[in-house]
Amino acid sequence: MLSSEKKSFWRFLAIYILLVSLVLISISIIYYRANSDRVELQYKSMMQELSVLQIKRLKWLHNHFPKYNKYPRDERFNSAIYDLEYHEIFSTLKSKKIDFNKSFYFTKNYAIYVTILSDYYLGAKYLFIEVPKNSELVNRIIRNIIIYGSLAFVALLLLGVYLAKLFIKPMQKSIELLDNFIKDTTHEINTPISIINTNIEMLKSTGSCLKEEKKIRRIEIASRTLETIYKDLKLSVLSKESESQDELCNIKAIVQERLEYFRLHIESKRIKLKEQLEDVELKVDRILIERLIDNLISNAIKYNRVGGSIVIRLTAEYLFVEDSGIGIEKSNLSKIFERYRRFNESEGGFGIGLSIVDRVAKRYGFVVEVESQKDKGTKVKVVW
Amino acid sequence: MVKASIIMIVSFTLLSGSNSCIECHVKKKISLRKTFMKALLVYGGERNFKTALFYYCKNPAKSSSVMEEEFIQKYLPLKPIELSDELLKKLIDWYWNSYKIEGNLK
Repeated sequence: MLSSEKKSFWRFLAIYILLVSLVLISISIIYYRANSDRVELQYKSMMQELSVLQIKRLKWLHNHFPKYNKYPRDERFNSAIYDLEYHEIFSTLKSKKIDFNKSFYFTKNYAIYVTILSDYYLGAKYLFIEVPKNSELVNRIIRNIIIYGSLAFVALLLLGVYLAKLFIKPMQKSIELLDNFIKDTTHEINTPISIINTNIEMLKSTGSCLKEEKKIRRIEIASRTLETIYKDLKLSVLSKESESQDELCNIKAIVQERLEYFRLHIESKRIKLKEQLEDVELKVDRILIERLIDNLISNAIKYNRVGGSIVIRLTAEYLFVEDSGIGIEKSNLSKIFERYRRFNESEGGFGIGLSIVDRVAKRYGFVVEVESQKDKGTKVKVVW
Repeated sequence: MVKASIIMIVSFTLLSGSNSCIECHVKKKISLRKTFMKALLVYGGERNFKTALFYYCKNPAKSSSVMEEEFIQKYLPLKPIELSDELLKKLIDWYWNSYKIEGNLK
């Protein structure tokens, strides 16, 4: 999966998860409220019965007071009576919080039901019935929400992954088509390039076209550009990581050879080249390191201005390439290693050069540092 | 309680120089507890009870009595009590404090 595909995949999934979470949370709240209401109703109904019973007992006590003066108690509940001026007449309540404005409410540990008496038995207008709160009921609701919510979330997450894959499928198809097209094209252009190069060499060695030397040079430049593209495409699309063969390579020699290879390009743009090359040997795959160096040099030439400059520095620690070209916008710097990503349409190419640099660097644990200023130039440093 | 009532009757009679409501209750053997519980059933709280009773003593009427019809016909003269407001209030305070429920439940 390409990084752009991954990004789209994760973005889609993140939005999907967010929406699913919101829906599940909303459903959970509705479920919790509905069940809380049901529980409250159960409490109310049960406590209303207790209240009726207690009123009967109060009535009896009222009629037999003071012969009997024991306040009616019940092991199922606590109760209290208050007069219409909110003075406590008698109370066995455990809760300290008394609310005369509600007919039913919960405290931390108790449910409280308030009845307003029409006959003031024992002078009481308010009867409070208090029962211990059954936290098991609420716990069961919360447990259900957690269990079924998690199951629903996992199921919807799996569906989300499936949908996200469906979402990026057209993108994958396009990339696949492009890959296949490039693969087919790559196979086909190798032979013509070889023929052109061989014939150019023949023309140069026989000296039969001295008058047309300028034109032959142009053909040679074009042919080498094609050859570079071919090699990049071959590496990018056709070769596999496992095929690389590491050997001790003289990097200085390779850089010099590649500079020689691009000599015609450099000359054609009248670019001033400054080389500071130290002897460096690395155990790498020659083809891969060539592609890395080629792409850095090729980009420095391609995106340079006519009469510009290139500085190439090779040390035991790094390879540094600086050009005085068009530069890259700061906002695009993070995307330059993405495959098929191009920021300048004025020059040819497929946008795979820097993705190859990144791929080779990652393969050997090199660190690629890029600094660029729009219209001033770019500095690329590959730290070994 | 009966002793206390008698002491109260004597004291209030001496103070007022006329017949008090309590004296009449004792004479007619009308239970002060019974009338208290009847009034409490209707008037509830202390302030409400005292205010209502004070008003009733000053303006007795069938319509404002908490007692049954038969009781009113049999016992109540429906004549205003001839005691000063202050004395009547004291008498009602005594009545409340003697018969109130608050503090007498176990």
